[in-house]
Amino acid sequence: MSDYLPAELIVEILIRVPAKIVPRCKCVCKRWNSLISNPHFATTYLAHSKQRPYHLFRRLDQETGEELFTLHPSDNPDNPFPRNYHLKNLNRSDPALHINLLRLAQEVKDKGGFFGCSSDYIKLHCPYKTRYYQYFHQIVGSVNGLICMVDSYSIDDNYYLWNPSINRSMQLPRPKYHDQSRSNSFFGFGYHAPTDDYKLVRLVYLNNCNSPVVDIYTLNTGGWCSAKAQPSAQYIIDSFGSVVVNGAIHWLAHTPEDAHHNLIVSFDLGNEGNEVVFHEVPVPKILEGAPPLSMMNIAVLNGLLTLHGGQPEKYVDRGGRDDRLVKEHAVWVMKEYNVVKSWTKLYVIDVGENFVRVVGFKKNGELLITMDDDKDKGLLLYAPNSRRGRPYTDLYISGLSRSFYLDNYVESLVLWKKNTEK
Amino acid sequence: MSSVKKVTLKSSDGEIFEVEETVAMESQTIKGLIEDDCADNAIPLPNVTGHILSLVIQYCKEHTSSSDSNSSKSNEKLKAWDTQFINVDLNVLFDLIMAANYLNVKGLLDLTCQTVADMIKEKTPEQIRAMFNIVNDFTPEEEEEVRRENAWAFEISLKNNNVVDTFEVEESMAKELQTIKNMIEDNYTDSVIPLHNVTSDILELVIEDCKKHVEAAESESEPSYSLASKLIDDPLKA
Repeated sequence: MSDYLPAELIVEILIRVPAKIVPRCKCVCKRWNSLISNPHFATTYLAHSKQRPYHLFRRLDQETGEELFTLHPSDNPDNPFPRNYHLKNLNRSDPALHINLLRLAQEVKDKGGFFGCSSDYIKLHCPYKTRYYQYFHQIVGSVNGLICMVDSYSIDDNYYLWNPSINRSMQLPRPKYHDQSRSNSFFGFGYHAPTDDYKLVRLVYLNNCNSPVVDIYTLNTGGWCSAKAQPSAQYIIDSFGSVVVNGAIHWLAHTPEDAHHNLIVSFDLGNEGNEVVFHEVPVPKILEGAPPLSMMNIAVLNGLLTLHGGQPEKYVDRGGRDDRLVKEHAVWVMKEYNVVKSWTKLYVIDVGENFVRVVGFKKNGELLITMDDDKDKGLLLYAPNSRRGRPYTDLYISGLSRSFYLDNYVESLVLWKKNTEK
Repeated sequence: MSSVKKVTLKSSDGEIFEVEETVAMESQTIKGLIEDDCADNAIPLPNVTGHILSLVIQYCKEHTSSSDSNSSKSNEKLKAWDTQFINVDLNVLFDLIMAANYLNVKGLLDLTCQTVADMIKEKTPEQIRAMFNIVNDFTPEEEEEVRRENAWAFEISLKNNNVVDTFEVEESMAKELQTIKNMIEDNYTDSVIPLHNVTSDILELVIEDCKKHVEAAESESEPSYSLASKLIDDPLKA
């Protein structure tokens, strides 16, 4: 039958097969083997899977110390973690409905919350365990199905690349100054289209120098190279994470002089050679002269650069970077890249006095947040501009609050051909 | 008197179909012909038989976004209709793929290709060949090499009794265990093999042991069945 199916239609079928089944199809016949081996196939596969993205979620189970990764379909704007997932199977014609509803919250909690009651997710098996018990990996980023993680422990870091959709992974070799990197490393991970390459960028601040050494790992070469930034590139990085927008990695930072100003620092993934260049993107005018934005973080929302978190109230020199006097928690998006006037405050997150961390943004406009207080509330759903009495909802997702991580994910065949481990 | 514009389509075997223009325009190919004013007479479609064309028209009718009562079909109802519609013979399915491609009906191409892809994911290479009527043109050595390069892709999932704890194991290793070997050879098509008598810890140890045996067996001619496989064949007191 398939002798009359033209190659393009065999490809149309194969790009719809789950990534980890594709290698099996190579064994069917020479024609299929050659179709799949063609580098164009992986590109076509990725283009198709980008239309069917997932959400990647990570949490640390405090009882077992295990780091758990799950994949959630994202076709529904309510996903992941729909507001009333636990009401799905409720029998609404049951005369004891109101009694069942009262009991339901406890039942759901007893069953293990979302991950005990719902089946709308796929469990992933991370091939790496952190060296320190009850610790979790720093997930630098995920692009085209490839997840980049760092395990910081003791005097050196381990770096990993992992593609869960085909279950391939590899540990990267170590860069030069790995033993000096302890508290002063910042990372970014992205895809550079012109060279079809994946790069892990590490900023290292040595000897109290404010201009970093830039280590770049490229997957195509399998090695690191070191570069120096331009002398005027003096920044103190404030954001723990980074994002990739317009082919460049962005971090939140401030300049080191006394009359400092806050800004976003960008590093183009096309940078190569011994000297690399940083560019600057402005933050909202009102935040520019404020104390360092160490309680804020950087994200991407619908392709737009986003700033969210606790805006500082006034500067209190406690000798540390953790300034907890926050004015409000807000979400800002930069509607036009690099145009300072286009920064728009979308809304304020109002949950009282607690410190809030935004874990992720749902397509329906709701937020997934955690609150930093003594009662470990787990992951919460927050509806901005809501008229409800209490704006956040318990999702019954437990775990170490600091460990919650949410990002987009697409299936791909990246890392298939590399010399990888399982 | 009907003010609805119609077009005439003629299949490869001479069947004539009169279809509303809006329905016919679900096919980008036909849409192009209509817009180029080539649709006054019957449009000949030499690559599509009457049987298949009638199915394509059925699909287009159901999916057309016109302003009649059908347009308020909910997504769920449409999905249910699609599932029912696509429940056809494999031959018909392949013909529908060809027709959807030739007529450029994006939704139908997606539906038919995804259906075939879903069938493939449950099958071994041998079964895929049977499905597509493909002759295996690899020599045994060539096939062995492709398999070996991608051995990790032939993983069998083993699931233990208490927890949903799946272990993905290379086929060669799983075959070390007599019980599982039998299941595989009986073409156990379920993607997860449940092992009711084995807890995770024991299973982990067994898999480790099998790994070592496979590595050792690479230099021997015959795999040796270890203590581990005997453990599996006796019901374990968990």
